Amino acid sequence: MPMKKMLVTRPKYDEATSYSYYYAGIVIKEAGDKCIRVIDLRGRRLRRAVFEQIIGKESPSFLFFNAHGDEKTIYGDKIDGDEEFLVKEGENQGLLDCRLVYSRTCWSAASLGKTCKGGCFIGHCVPFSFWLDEKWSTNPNNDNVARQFFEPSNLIVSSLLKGNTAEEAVDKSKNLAKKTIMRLLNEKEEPGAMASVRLLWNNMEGTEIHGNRHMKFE
Amino acid sequence: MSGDRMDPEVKKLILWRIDTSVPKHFKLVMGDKGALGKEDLKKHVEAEDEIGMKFVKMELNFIKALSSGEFTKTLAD
Repeated sequence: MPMKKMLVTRPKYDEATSYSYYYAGIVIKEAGDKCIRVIDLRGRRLRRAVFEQIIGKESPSFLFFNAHGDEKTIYGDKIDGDEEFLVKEGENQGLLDCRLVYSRTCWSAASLGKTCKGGCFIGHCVPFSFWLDEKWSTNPNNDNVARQFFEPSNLIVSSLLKGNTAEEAVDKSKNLAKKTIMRLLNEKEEPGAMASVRLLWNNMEGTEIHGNRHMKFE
Repeated sequence: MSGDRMDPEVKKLILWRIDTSVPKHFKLVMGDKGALGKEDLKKHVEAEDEIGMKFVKMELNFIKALSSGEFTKTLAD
């Protein structure tokens, strides 16, 4: 059986990307434990040219983007102060076709995700948002506030790695978010509980699937 | 909200919610505008700029979900 291939993009140049970078690392390890080949695009390798070359040569069937984004764009790294796009509607969106995609970026499910042909695009049609605890902002591992937002998101990837369909993976993620909301509602005297509930709701409601909901990572 | 300006009552409500529910050590990460502390967030809402309006929209969506029963129904499902 051919080895499954997953491509992960993870820049690290501000708080949002630093946290995503850390949490992407957790699922990269899980993939490694399952003998899945992970192409980890970060640092100097995180360039559109390299990304396009790898898609052409290695053809990974699962793409996991961690970055900033907008309705039509998924960005990569910041180069000389400007974010370089990796995928842009109207430019190279065909690179997503026939693949399973999870885009942990803002807005990309609102338009770009709908153009994915023959594959499945999981993403957010709202800004993917989270609270962080400033005491731990340089050490995401210890930040239990931010963890509440990244765990449901990471669960999408973990579930796909376990062989769940896109729909099952998103359902599991939403169930975890609901469980966290319920716990926070019971702890509403805890500082920040209600602020976290509102953001969790926003992320959960804004998670969408476009294309083949029954697609698996194969 | 109507037109280009935020209803002053809505603004008052959102600022009150930030004041009463966001602890001082929390920072909001929403898009590519960095991590915003409570006072920064209030300034964005006051200014009705892009990030302030995004936050207000999210708050209003939540209030609508709560008042329509969608929030409770979703959690119960």
